[in-house]
Amino acid sequence: MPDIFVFPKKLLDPAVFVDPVPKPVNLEKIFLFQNNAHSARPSAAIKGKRLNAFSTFCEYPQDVSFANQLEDEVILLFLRADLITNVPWIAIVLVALLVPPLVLMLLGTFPFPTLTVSAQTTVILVALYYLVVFGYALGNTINWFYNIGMVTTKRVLDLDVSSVTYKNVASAIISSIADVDYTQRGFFQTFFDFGDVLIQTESKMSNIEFEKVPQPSVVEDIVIKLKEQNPET
Amino acid sequence: MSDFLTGLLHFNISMLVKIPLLLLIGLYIIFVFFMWNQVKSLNKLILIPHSSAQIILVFLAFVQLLIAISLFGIAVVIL
Repeated sequence: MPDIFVFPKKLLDPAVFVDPVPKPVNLEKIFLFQNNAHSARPSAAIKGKRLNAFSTFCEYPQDVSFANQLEDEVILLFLRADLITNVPWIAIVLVALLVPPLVLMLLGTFPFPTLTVSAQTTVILVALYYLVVFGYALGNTINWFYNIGMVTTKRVLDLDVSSVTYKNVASAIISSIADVDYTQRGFFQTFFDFGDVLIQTESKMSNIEFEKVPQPSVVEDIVIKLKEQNPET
Repeated sequence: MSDFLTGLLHFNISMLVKIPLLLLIGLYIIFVFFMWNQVKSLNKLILIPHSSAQIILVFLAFVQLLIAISLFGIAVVIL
Protein backbone atom coordinates (compact mmCIF):
# COMPACT_ATOMS: atom_id res chain seq x y z
CA MET A 1 0.00 0.00 0.00
CA PRO A 2 1.51 3.37 -0.99
CA ASP A 3 2.35 5.91 1.77
CA ILE A 4 -0.45 8.46 2.27
CA PHE A 5 1.75 10.91 4.12
CA VAL A 6 5.50 11.01 4.49
CA PHE A 7 6.80 13.47 7.09
CA PRO A 8 9.43 15.73 5.43
CA LYS A 9 12.75 15.27 7.20
CA LYS A 10 13.70 18.96 6.79
CA LEU A 11 10.94 19.91 9.26
CA LEU A 12 12.89 18.11 11.95
CA ASP A 13 15.50 20.86 11.70
CA PRO A 14 14.50 23.75 14.08
CA ALA A 15 16.38 26.27 11.90
CA VAL A 16 13.60 25.99 9.33
CA PHE A 17 11.21 27.85 11.62
CA VAL A 18 13.57 30.68 12.55
CA ASP A 19 12.81 34.09 10.98
CA PRO A 20 15.49 35.23 8.54
CA VAL A 21 18.11 37.43 10.17
CA PRO A 22 17.87 41.04 8.94
CA LYS A 23 20.79 42.66 7.17
CA PRO A 24 23.47 43.40 9.79
CA VAL A 25 23.97 47.05 10.66
CA ASN A 26 27.45 48.47 11.06
CA LEU A 27 27.01 49.67 14.61
CA GLU A 28 30.65 50.65 15.03
CA LYS A 29 29.87 53.79 13.06
CA ILE A 30 27.01 54.64 15.42
CA PHE A 31 29.23 54.19 18.45
CA LEU A 32 31.96 56.31 16.86
CA PHE A 33 29.39 59.04 16.35
CA GLN A 34 28.29 58.91 19.93
CA ASN A 35 31.85 59.06 21.18
CA ASN A 36 32.49 62.08 18.98
CA ALA A 37 29.17 63.69 19.76
CA HIS A 38 30.81 66.88 21.00
CA SER A 39 31.44 67.85 17.39
CA ALA A 40 28.52 68.24 15.05
CA ARG A 41 30.47 66.83 12.12
CA PRO A 42 31.11 63.14 11.59
CA SER A 43 34.54 61.94 12.61
CA ALA A 44 37.18 61.72 9.91
CA ALA A 45 36.86 57.93 9.90
CA ILE A 46 33.26 58.16 8.77
CA LYS A 47 32.22 59.72 5.50
CA GLY A 48 28.70 61.01 5.46
CA LYS A 49 26.55 60.57 2.36
CA ARG A 50 25.20 63.47 0.39
CA LEU A 51 21.44 63.47 -0.03
CA ASN A 52 19.95 63.69 -3.49
CA ALA A 53 16.41 64.74 -4.39
CA PHE A 54 15.18 61.13 -4.47
CA SER A 55 16.88 59.81 -1.33
CA THR A 56 14.57 57.70 0.79
CA PHE A 57 17.08 55.97 3.08
CA CYS A 58 20.36 57.68 3.91
CA GLU A 59 22.76 56.82 6.69
CA TYR A 60 24.81 59.72 8.05
CA PRO A 61 23.40 62.33 5.65
CA GLN A 62 25.84 65.15 5.03
CA ASP A 63 24.91 68.77 5.55
CA VAL A 64 21.32 68.17 6.56
CA SER A 65 20.01 70.17 9.46
CA PHE A 66 16.66 71.00 10.98
CA ALA A 67 15.18 73.67 13.19
CA ASN A 68 15.87 73.18 16.93
CA GLN A 69 18.76 70.83 16.21
CA LEU A 70 21.15 70.78 19.17
CA GLU A 71 24.83 71.62 18.68
CA ASP A 72 26.05 68.15 19.52
CA GLU A 73 23.20 66.35 17.79
CA VAL A 74 24.13 64.36 14.69
CA ILE A 75 21.66 62.89 12.22
CA LEU A 76 22.27 59.16 11.84
CA LEU A 77 19.42 58.22 9.56
CA PHE A 78 17.28 60.17 7.10
CA LEU A 79 14.07 58.51 5.91
CA ARG A 80 11.29 59.16 3.44
CA ALA A 81 8.51 56.99 2.05
CA ASP A 82 9.75 54.58 -0.59
CA LEU A 83 9.75 55.93 -4.15
CA ILE A 84 7.38 53.21 -5.30
CA THR A 85 4.61 54.77 -3.17
CA ASN A 86 4.43 57.61 -5.71
CA VAL A 87 3.41 55.35 -8.60
CA PRO A 88 -0.39 55.60 -8.03
CA TRP A 89 -0.61 59.39 -8.20
CA ILE A 90 1.86 59.53 -11.11
CA ALA A 91 -0.39 57.12 -13.02
CA ILE A 92 -3.43 59.29 -12.24
CA VAL A 93 -1.61 62.38 -13.53
CA LEU A 94 -0.56 60.66 -16.76
CA VAL A 95 -4.14 59.55 -17.42
CA ALA A 96 -5.50 62.98 -16.52
CA LEU A 97 -3.18 64.63 -19.05
CA LEU A 98 -4.84 62.65 -21.84
CA VAL A 99 -8.44 63.50 -20.90
CA PRO A 100 -8.91 66.92 -22.60
CA PRO A 101 -7.63 65.87 -26.04
CA LEU A 102 -9.82 62.76 -25.91
CA VAL A 103 -12.89 64.73 -24.84
CA LEU A 104 -12.33 67.36 -27.51
CA MET A 105 -11.87 64.66 -30.11
CA LEU A 106 -15.09 62.95 -29.02
CA LEU A 107 -17.00 66.23 -29.07
CA GLY A 108 -15.63 66.89 -32.55
CA THR A 109 -16.80 63.48 -33.76
CA PHE A 110 -20.11 63.36 -31.85
CA PRO A 111 -21.17 66.97 -31.32
CA PHE A 112 -23.87 67.73 -28.75
CA PRO A 113 -26.09 70.48 -30.20
CA THR A 114 -27.27 71.59 -26.76
CA LEU A 115 -23.74 71.84 -25.40
CA THR A 116 -22.03 74.57 -27.39
CA VAL A 117 -19.17 76.34 -25.68
CA SER A 118 -17.29 79.24 -27.18
CA ALA A 119 -13.65 78.77 -28.15
CA GLN A 120 -12.50 81.25 -25.47
CA THR A 121 -14.35 79.35 -22.74
CA THR A 122 -12.85 76.07 -23.98
CA VAL A 123 -9.34 77.51 -23.83
CA ILE A 124 -9.88 78.82 -20.28
CA LEU A 125 -11.43 75.54 -19.12
CA VAL A 126 -8.62 73.43 -20.57
CA ALA A 127 -5.96 75.75 -19.12
CA LEU A 128 -7.63 75.57 -15.69
CA TYR A 129 -7.87 71.79 -15.94
CA TYR A 130 -4.15 71.41 -16.69
CA LEU A 131 -3.33 73.85 -13.91
CA VAL A 132 -5.32 71.74 -11.45
CA VAL A 133 -3.56 68.56 -12.65
CA PHE A 134 -0.20 70.30 -12.21
CA GLY A 135 -1.27 71.42 -8.73
CA TYR A 136 -2.24 67.84 -7.85
CA ALA A 137 1.16 66.55 -9.01
CA LEU A 138 3.03 69.29 -7.14
CA GLY A 139 1.00 68.71 -3.98
CA ASN A 140 1.80 65.00 -3.99
CA THR A 141 5.47 65.74 -4.63
CA ILE A 142 5.54 68.14 -1.67
CA ASN A 143 3.79 65.56 0.53
CA TRP A 144 6.37 62.92 -0.35
CA PHE A 145 9.41 65.23 -0.20
CA TYR A 146 8.68 66.77 3.17
CA ASN A 147 7.27 63.74 4.99
CA ILE A 148 10.56 62.91 6.66
CA GLY A 149 11.71 60.70 9.49
CA MET A 150 15.06 61.17 11.19
CA VAL A 151 17.03 59.29 13.78
CA THR A 152 19.69 61.33 15.54
CA THR A 153 22.12 60.62 18.35
CA LYS A 154 19.63 62.15 20.79
CA ARG A 155 16.11 61.57 19.44
CA VAL A 156 13.82 60.38 16.71
CA LEU A 157 11.84 62.90 14.68
CA ASP A 158 8.83 62.56 12.44
CA LEU A 159 7.75 65.40 10.18
CA ASP A 160 4.23 64.93 8.77
CA VAL A 161 3.02 67.34 6.17
CA SER A 162 0.07 67.96 3.89
CA SER A 163 0.63 70.15 0.87
CA VAL A 164 -1.47 73.04 2.12
CA THR A 165 -2.29 73.52 5.76
CA TYR A 166 -1.16 70.62 7.94
CA LYS A 167 2.26 70.24 9.50
CA ASN A 168 3.18 68.13 12.52
CA VAL A 169 6.61 67.61 14.03
CA ALA A 170 6.82 64.81 16.58
CA SER A 171 10.01 63.93 18.40
CA ALA A 172 11.00 61.61 21.19
CA ILE A 173 14.31 61.31 23.00
CA ILE A 174 15.99 57.95 22.66
CA SER A 175 15.83 57.10 26.35
CA SER A 176 12.03 57.51 26.41
CA ILE A 177 11.47 54.88 23.71
CA ALA A 178 9.60 51.90 25.11
CA ASP A 179 9.19 49.66 22.09
CA VAL A 180 9.98 49.54 18.38
CA ASP A 181 8.31 47.34 15.82
CA TYR A 182 7.72 47.33 12.09
CA THR A 183 5.00 46.06 9.75
CA GLN A 184 5.08 45.07 6.11
CA ARG A 185 1.64 44.43 4.66
CA GLY A 186 0.93 42.82 1.33
CA PHE A 187 2.89 41.81 -1.73
CA PHE A 188 4.26 45.21 -2.76
CA GLN A 189 5.63 46.12 0.65
CA THR A 190 7.29 42.73 1.00
CA PHE A 191 8.64 42.69 -2.55
CA PHE A 192 10.00 46.24 -2.49
CA ASP A 193 11.06 45.97 1.19
CA PHE A 194 9.31 48.96 2.67
CA GLY A 195 6.93 49.25 5.60
CA ASP A 196 5.83 51.15 8.70
CA VAL A 197 8.04 51.48 11.75
CA LEU A 198 6.18 52.26 14.95
CA ILE A 199 8.17 53.68 17.83
CA GLN A 200 6.25 53.61 21.09
CA THR A 201 7.29 55.99 23.79
CA GLU A 202 6.50 56.07 27.46
CA SER A 203 4.09 58.94 26.88
CA LYS A 204 0.86 57.67 25.33
CA MET A 205 0.41 60.77 23.18
CA SER A 206 3.69 60.76 21.35
CA ASN A 207 4.14 57.53 19.41
CA ILE A 208 6.26 58.07 16.34
CA GLU A 209 5.50 56.31 13.09
CA PHE A 210 7.71 56.24 10.02
CA GLU A 211 5.31 55.30 7.24
CA LYS A 212 6.30 53.24 4.20
CA VAL A 213 10.04 53.65 4.74
CA PRO A 214 12.61 51.42 3.02
CA GLN A 215 14.38 48.67 4.98
CA PRO A 216 12.17 48.91 8.07
CA SER A 217 14.01 46.03 9.73
CA VAL A 218 17.26 47.99 9.55
CA VAL A 219 15.57 51.10 10.97
CA GLU A 220 14.16 49.04 13.83
CA ASP A 221 17.58 47.53 14.51
CA ILE A 222 19.29 50.94 14.60
CA VAL A 223 16.72 52.43 16.97
CA ILE A 224 16.88 49.41 19.29
CA LYS A 225 20.68 49.55 19.44
CA LEU A 226 20.54 53.29 20.13
CA LYS A 227 18.05 52.62 22.89
CA GLU A 228 20.43 50.05 24.43
CA GLN A 229 23.15 52.69 24.37
CA ASN A 230 20.83 55.27 25.96
CA PRO A 231 18.97 53.46 28.70
CA GLU A 232 16.40 55.24 30.84
CA THR A 233 17.92 57.49 33.50
CA MET B 1 -41.72 96.28 -13.68
CA SER B 2 -41.57 96.18 -17.46
CA ASP B 3 -38.04 97.62 -17.31
CA PHE B 4 -37.00 94.78 -15.01
CA LEU B 5 -38.46 92.17 -17.32
CA THR B 6 -36.78 93.79 -20.30
CA GLY B 7 -33.47 93.79 -18.47
CA LEU B 8 -33.93 90.14 -17.57
CA LEU B 9 -34.59 89.20 -21.17
CA HIS B 10 -31.44 91.00 -22.27
CA PHE B 11 -29.31 89.34 -19.57
CA ASN B 12 -26.08 88.09 -21.09
CA ILE B 13 -26.14 84.30 -20.75
CA SER B 14 -22.35 84.13 -21.01
CA MET B 15 -22.18 85.61 -17.48
CA LEU B 16 -23.56 82.27 -16.24
CA VAL B 17 -20.33 80.70 -17.41
CA LYS B 18 -17.95 83.57 -16.68
CA ILE B 19 -18.83 84.18 -13.01
CA PRO B 20 -18.54 80.55 -11.79
CA LEU B 21 -15.33 80.12 -13.79
CA LEU B 22 -13.81 83.24 -12.24
CA LEU B 23 -14.89 82.07 -8.78
CA LEU B 24 -13.26 78.71 -9.42
CA ILE B 25 -10.01 80.28 -10.56
CA GLY B 26 -10.09 82.64 -7.57
CA LEU B 27 -10.48 79.75 -5.13
CA TYR B 28 -7.65 77.92 -6.85
CA ILE B 29 -5.41 80.98 -6.51
CA ILE B 30 -6.04 80.95 -2.74
CA PHE B 31 -5.20 77.22 -2.59
CA VAL B 32 -1.97 77.69 -4.52
CA PHE B 33 -1.02 80.66 -2.33
CA PHE B 34 -1.34 78.48 0.77
CA MET B 35 0.73 75.76 -0.94
CA TRP B 36 3.51 78.25 -1.73
CA ASN B 37 3.51 79.50 1.87
CA GLN B 38 3.64 75.94 3.17
CA VAL B 39 6.66 75.07 1.03
CA LYS B 40 8.51 78.22 2.17
CA SER B 41 7.90 77.41 5.85
CA LEU B 42 8.95 73.78 5.36
CA ASN B 43 12.23 74.91 3.79
CA LYS B 44 12.98 76.76 7.02
CA LEU B 45 12.24 73.61 9.03
CA ILE B 46 14.51 71.25 7.08
CA LEU B 47 17.66 72.57 5.48
CA ILE B 48 19.60 70.68 2.82
CA PRO B 49 22.08 73.34 1.65
CA HIS B 50 23.44 71.74 -1.50
CA SER B 51 20.15 70.36 -2.73
CA SER B 52 18.39 72.25 -5.49
CA ALA B 53 15.19 70.27 -4.95
CA GLN B 54 13.91 72.59 -2.22
CA ILE B 55 14.56 75.65 -4.40
CA ILE B 56 12.86 73.99 -7.38
CA LEU B 57 9.73 73.16 -5.34
CA VAL B 58 9.40 76.75 -4.10
CA PHE B 59 9.95 78.01 -7.65
CA LEU B 60 7.31 75.65 -9.10
CA ALA B 61 4.79 76.66 -6.45
CA PHE B 62 5.45 80.33 -7.20
CA VAL B 63 5.21 79.79 -10.96
CA GLN B 64 1.92 77.99 -10.45
CA LEU B 65 0.63 80.96 -8.46
CA LEU B 66 1.67 83.37 -11.21
CA ILE B 67 0.03 81.25 -13.89
CA ALA B 68 -3.20 81.03 -11.88
CA ILE B 69 -3.29 84.82 -11.43
CA SER B 70 -2.56 85.32 -15.15
CA LEU B 71 -5.32 82.89 -16.05
CA PHE B 72 -7.72 84.88 -13.89
CA GLY B 73 -6.77 88.07 -15.71
CA ILE B 74 -7.11 86.45 -19.11
CA ALA B 75 -10.49 84.98 -18.18
CA VAL B 76 -11.75 88.42 -17.10
CA VAL B 77 -10.68 89.91 -20.43
CA ILE B 78 -11.61 87.30 -23.02
CA LEU B 79 -14.76 85.77 -21.56
